Amino acid sequence: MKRNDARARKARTGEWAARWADLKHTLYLLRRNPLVLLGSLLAIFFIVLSLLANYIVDPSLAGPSGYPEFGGNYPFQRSYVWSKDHFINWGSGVKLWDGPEFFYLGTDGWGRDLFKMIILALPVDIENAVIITLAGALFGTLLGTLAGYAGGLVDETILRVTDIFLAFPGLVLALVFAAMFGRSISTLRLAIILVWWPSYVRLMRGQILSEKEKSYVEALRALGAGYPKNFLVIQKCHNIISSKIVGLGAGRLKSLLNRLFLLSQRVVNGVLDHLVLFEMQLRILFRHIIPNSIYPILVQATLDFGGSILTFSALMFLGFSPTPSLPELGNLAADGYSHVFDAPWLIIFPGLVMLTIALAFNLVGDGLRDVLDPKLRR
Amino acid sequence: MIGEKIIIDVRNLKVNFRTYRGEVKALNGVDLKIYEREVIALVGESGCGKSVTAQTILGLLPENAYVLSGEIFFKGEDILKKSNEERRILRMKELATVFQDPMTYLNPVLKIEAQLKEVFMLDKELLKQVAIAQRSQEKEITFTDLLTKQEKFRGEPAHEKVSRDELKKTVENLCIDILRLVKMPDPKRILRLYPFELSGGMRQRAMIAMALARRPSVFIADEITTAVDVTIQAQILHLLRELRDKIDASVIMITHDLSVAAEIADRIAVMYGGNVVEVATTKEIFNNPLHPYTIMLMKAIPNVKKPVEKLESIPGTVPEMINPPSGCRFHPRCHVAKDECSVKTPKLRKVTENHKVACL
Amino acid sequence: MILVLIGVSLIVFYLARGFPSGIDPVTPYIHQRMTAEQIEEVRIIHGFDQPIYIQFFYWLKDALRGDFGITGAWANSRPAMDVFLSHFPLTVQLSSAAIILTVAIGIPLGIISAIKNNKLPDHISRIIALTGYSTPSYWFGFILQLVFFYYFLTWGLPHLPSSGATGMDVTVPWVTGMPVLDGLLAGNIEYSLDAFAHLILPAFSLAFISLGFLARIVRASMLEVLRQDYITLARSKGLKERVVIYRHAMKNALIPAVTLTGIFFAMLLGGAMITEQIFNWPGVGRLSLTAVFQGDSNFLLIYTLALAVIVVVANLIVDVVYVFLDPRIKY
Repeated sequence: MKRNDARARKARTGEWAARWADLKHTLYLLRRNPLVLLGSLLAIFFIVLSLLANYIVDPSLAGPSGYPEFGGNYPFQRSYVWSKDHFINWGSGVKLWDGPEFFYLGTDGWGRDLFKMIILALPVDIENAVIITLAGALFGTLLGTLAGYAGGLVDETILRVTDIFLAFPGLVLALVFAAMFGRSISTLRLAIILVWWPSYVRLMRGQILSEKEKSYVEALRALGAGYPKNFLVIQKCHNIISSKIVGLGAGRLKSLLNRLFLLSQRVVNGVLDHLVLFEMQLRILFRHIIPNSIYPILVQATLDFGGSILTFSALMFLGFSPTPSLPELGNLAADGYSHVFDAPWLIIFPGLVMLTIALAFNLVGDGLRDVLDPKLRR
Repeated sequence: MIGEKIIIDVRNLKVNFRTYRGEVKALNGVDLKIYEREVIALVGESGCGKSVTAQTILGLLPENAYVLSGEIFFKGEDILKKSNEERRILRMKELATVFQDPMTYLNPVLKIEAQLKEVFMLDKELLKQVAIAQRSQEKEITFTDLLTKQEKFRGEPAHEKVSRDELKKTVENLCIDILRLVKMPDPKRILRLYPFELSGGMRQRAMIAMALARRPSVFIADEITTAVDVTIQAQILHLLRELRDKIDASVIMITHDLSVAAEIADRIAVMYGGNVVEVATTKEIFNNPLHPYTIMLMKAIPNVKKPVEKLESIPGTVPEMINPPSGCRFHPRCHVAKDECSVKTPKLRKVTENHKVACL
Repeated sequence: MILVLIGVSLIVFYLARGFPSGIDPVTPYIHQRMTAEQIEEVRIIHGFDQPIYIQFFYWLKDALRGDFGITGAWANSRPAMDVFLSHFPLTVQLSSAAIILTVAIGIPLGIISAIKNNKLPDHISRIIALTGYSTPSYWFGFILQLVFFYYFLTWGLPHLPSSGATGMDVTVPWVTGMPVLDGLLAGNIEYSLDAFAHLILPAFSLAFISLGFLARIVRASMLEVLRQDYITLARSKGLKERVVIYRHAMKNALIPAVTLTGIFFAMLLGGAMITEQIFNWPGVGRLSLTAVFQGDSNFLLIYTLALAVIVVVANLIVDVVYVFLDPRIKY
């Protein structure tokens, strides 16, 4: 018994050492790919920027809710300004903007500096993307694990439900959901999570199924190697007690006690067997399956990060923003929708920023997928 | 029989592989001379560099490999200095290879006829000549005719026009005939099948046919018996023996199985750790092995005639090629190693007329 | 499969009609000047006062006969099926054009990427592909419009129209519902050309986003094929590299890509919503957006169901095609 334990422990450390070496190899391969480097740099840049955004730019510029306040004066003449000569005014008479301020990227309909609005929009977008991706991934992975592990009816049900959600064309589900439940940010988040979670289910389930094949063989082998220590102790105690008691008594009492304890022994052994099997399965689940399946999930999550940002801003663009002046990349672009030819900067720049963020994360995810593909390694 | 001239001369070939763990020094100065029309077996454990040698000759090294130094002379010219395009033409005309696992080496979505025909179609001029000659003859021109009467068919380009149908028919005949040559049952039917519909032995024959079709001067067989069972192995070796008398080529037989080498080879070159350590005629090697590695190899083969004794295995394991042992690469496992073996790398030196050894 | 369809319709139904906090299902059918009683009447006419499961039952009964109810005032109160069918071919036209572009650009991009793996062309095509994939759908269309319509116009260059599917005042007999084809069928080449000009920008906008995805898949599949042993054999035969790639590698690598194209087409049909909106393309996607904001559950239901059916059918077709392409598979 002791020899098995020691060998098992050595195998375990060997495994972790192997995983660490694997990780180092992955990082090495990643470093060699210039696109991934570029992507991760950009991603980090944006994340940092979004964390600092509220400190760089005064958030009150956007207005607490509804329309921004500029000392009580709505800066009408500052709407849709690009430079001193390019100017739209919807009020009476056309006035040229001759004010002191210089807008790097122009202004939006409320006279806010677009550059500053974009920076303020970053935390909104990125925070939402993180939440959506995490929630979707967690939920989908959990369901996928359940489906793969339980099998049978549970598996079938989960698969069907996933199919149903996958069959929805485009954004219809999110749109209907959002239209029905109002325009708060949490509703929108929920709506998009609904659209994104199914892909994880399939992914995780596939991983679990393929790992299950391997793990049953291992479980049987491990079972043959002996019970874990604490169970052995229980067994030993039980044996000692039963042997002591069996020796007592005489005649019919003795045989009765004998049979009783033989029975109890069988029961105890049976229970222990099941417990051991269960523990084995749990151990296998956590030690093998999850570390091995993490990679594809990670790849999918990184790619989905970009996708969820795009979807979120698309919803905003379509008009689901809680307040019309919320600084958010899609919302800013929506404002420019009606003036696309007169004030194109309102669409160009927020969209460009959106593209860059999504591109950054997609580069990373794509490079990750290349690197982690087992056939393309080494 | 065996020609006098050397057709391939490998001199001090060093090849390295770039990996993320370091440089693998796969070939460490390989010296090998191959004569015309001989069958030479390249024998050694896995990882000793025999396949890499063949790949270098062919010019099919993977991307992370490069030739550090050395020369390979083919018919007098150093082919390592040639361009990729020239080497490709060499592969087309002179060097043919048959590989180990016919299942993975045949394209699964192309029929056999497509894969075989494309070899013949590489030399359209020749086909035209054959078609023209066919017109004036009653009997079908077979592939064997091509082999034996090669000179008749090469020459100036055809003066007459050959129709497409004629070409097609010619190619088809040649294909059927060559399949018959490799003892493929029912060649006409086989042509229309996909690789997965054939048995392992038949696939191997198809590959051999594809190699033969080019009428090469050098025929490289890379572990062709490893992936098949013993009965098919015997058939294929038998086939090779028959063919070698018909075709005018040298055969490089790469294998790790000495018994296979013994059956078919004229000479045997033993490789270890990226070097050729001993090369001699088959008889010499078996009767009088000189290199300690060869000696141990011999001892490891169970002998039918002698009484059952303990099978000896060679102590130690194959060396890691990133940090190979210094000097003679075998010295950590050698039972007659001397001190200088770890310092100096021995080169092949002549012991007798046909026997060379790399040992101090 | 039927289960999936029922599930989809259940969800949409419940979402669209079942929530009191959402848009009242009666909304598309009323206008502001109606009194409360008139609104109640409308509600009863359409059966919106009944419990939700009964509503579903009635809806299902009608739907199986092909009657999907009536749309609201925003679509002139025509039967939902009619509205859908009359605008669907336009979406099909747009998506077909887009998929042709996707395949024509995406596949070569992926192949080049694979052949010159990790060298400059690979990186360039990967950036192009990923940029396409990361572009917001509402953005690229605008940029195209801006450049090719507005700026060209102001610079005096020939420009491409930016909205609608047709520009001319003439109409053409309705055969397929697709202006380009109908124009050809009616012999009115000018009409077709005009429709075609209207098609270019939106199709390209739609295609740009999906060609990246296709290119990635083609690249991955090609890379795997190039690693195979039979490619080594082909090279050892002395075949030219180009022949090796075209004849041996591509046939194997394109099988998954081709089958994916079918699924892509189905997805494009559904994903054209925003593009249609931007380009004012009178297709079914743009209508669905209006329907969402109007709360028109009838139209939404038929839209969702139709597209779900198409997705499922596309999957089936793809499976069948796969059997034909890969000789190893026996059905």
